[in-house]
Amino acid sequence: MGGNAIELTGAEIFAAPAAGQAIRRPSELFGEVEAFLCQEASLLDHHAYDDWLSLWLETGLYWIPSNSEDLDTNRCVSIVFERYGALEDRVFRLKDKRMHSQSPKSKLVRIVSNISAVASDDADILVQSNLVLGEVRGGQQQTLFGRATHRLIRSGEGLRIAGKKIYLIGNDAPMRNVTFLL
Amino acid sequence: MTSANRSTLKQSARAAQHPVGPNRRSEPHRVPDRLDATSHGYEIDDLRSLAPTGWVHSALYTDEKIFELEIERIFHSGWVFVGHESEISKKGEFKRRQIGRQPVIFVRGQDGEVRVLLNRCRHRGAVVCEVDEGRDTYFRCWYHGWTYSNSGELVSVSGPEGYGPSFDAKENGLTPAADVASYRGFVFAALKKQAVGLGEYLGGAAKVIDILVDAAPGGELTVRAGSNRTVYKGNWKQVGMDGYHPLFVHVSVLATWEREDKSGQNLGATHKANPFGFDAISETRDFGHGHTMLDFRKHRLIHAGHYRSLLEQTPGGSDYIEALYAEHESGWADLLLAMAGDPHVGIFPNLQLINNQIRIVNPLSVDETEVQMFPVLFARASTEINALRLRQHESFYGPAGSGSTDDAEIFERVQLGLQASVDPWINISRGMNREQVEADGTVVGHITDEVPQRGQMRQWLAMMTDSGVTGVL
Repeated sequence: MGGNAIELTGAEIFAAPAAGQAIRRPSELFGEVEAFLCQEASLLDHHAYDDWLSLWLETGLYWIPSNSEDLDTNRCVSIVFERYGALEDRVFRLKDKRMHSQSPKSKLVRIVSNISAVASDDADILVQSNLVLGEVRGGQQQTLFGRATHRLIRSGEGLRIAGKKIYLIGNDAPMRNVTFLL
Repeated sequence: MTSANRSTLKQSARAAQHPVGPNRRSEPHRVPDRLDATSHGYEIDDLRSLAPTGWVHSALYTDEKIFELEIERIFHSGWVFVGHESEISKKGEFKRRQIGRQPVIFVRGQDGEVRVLLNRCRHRGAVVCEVDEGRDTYFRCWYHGWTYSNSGELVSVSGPEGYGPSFDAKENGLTPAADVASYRGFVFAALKKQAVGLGEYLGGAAKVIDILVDAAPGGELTVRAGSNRTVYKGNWKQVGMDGYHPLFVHVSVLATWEREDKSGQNLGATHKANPFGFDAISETRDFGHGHTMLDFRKHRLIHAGHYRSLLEQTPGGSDYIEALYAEHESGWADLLLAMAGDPHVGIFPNLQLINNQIRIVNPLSVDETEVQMFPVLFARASTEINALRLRQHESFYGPAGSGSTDDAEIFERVQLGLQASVDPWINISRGMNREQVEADGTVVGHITDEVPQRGQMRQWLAMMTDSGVTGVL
């Protein structure tokens, strides 16, 4: 893997597109972005891993920082800092019935809200949203709160995820397993 | 009122003439004496009967009274790991830590000295450090304004005229841990003065810690990469040093390792060859004092090529390899390279050096445990090598890693199962039929044997039942 981890830092992927402008309701683009986020949330809630993976560009970066909202990933640990290839492995394991921490699977509901977006054109969009995620597993309930950042790029088939960052506000406190996808 | 009660009252009246507490600094007087086992319903002989060699009674994992005794007799009585010196390399840097139930501050004072101070104002007891980490010249209690330097001295009392001439600020600094000692940057503290020094306590495990320290060029570790904090609903003694579980607990990860590595990002496998099989040549070791190791040395020396080629493809990797061989004789350098800085050792009761991380086990209650993981970087290695170490860590460890999460799941299943106590015994006898004892007393078994569990339990029993013991070999 070598230099791969530092080719493009999180800061670069999650920076606003050059000369970007805020997009708002009721624009068609904003509606498309909102629908995309809701569709993604639904796939995650229902453990539709392959469908979720198909939303990604094969160069994508999935990032859940640890300890703080932003950090230098070359010098600081994250909870997840994975390129698409590693994400494929994660999905491979999630589909393996012997991944004990998801046997049985978590029941999940997420609420995506407070969406704001900046676009340079309709093909490169940086989206911010807030997330409330409820999990019930083994009779225990936990609630996670976070801020998500999506970098969406338009490809032939529609919007695709070039990067997704989830800042959990509890990422500096002891955390129970987060083995489902965020 | 009985005469005994009257005399107690007289004593407290006398004590009141020293309005800010007894003038004794040598002993951290807030640490209670050892709890009397009988007051918890356990005679010492009962405790012995709960842990005969090869067996453990499930009460050790489920009984709150035993947990309270563990806190006093193990965490509040013996050596406990607090942090690494590089975490507070600058004057005034501090970290908030825990020794059993006691909140402490791990801090480097203005004089450059590393200290472990109880995080408690000497006036009315509020914590004086309310953040996890930082850098400052003083700690102030915001209840009434008492202010302490970052070396712990009481430097300012608001309204000092209210305390009279008998008040001595020197006697009212933040209470230091009774003993603090460091081995190659790893700082341990004890709330009671220790009869056994840290070097003697670590014993044969010290040489194994060197496998991590010497893997850093110049021996310079950097523990400043933040941490992953995880928590599971299970007893603290379940964490780690088990070489029998990976084929089952981590079966989905092993399956991932066998996938074609088309992305080149499959990082769980610093060493793809599996060291855990029933025919593996890896070993388990019990160094005494509860310090134990999953000893991959023989296995990894054979498979060293994979990590070497991973390094050689990484910018700075060849320089790194060169530095190891320049600093160490070639046999030791071969081993350092093969082990990739992973001693896989557990230092009783709360430190583990596993893969690329320092891990602190922090018991919260009889059935809840925090495990905090600090990736360790090499100060003089390239950014790319350190980034690789971080990515390797994240792929297996932490609250969303592929390995830690299945471990936590199984610990919780164990905790649930142990509630069924009709037949209360846990079997840790695996390998008793084939373990060997080396000349220095180290017990050695097969990687899948429960040599570490028995070693940890022997130390547990020694500390829980012998009032004077820091540890036994």
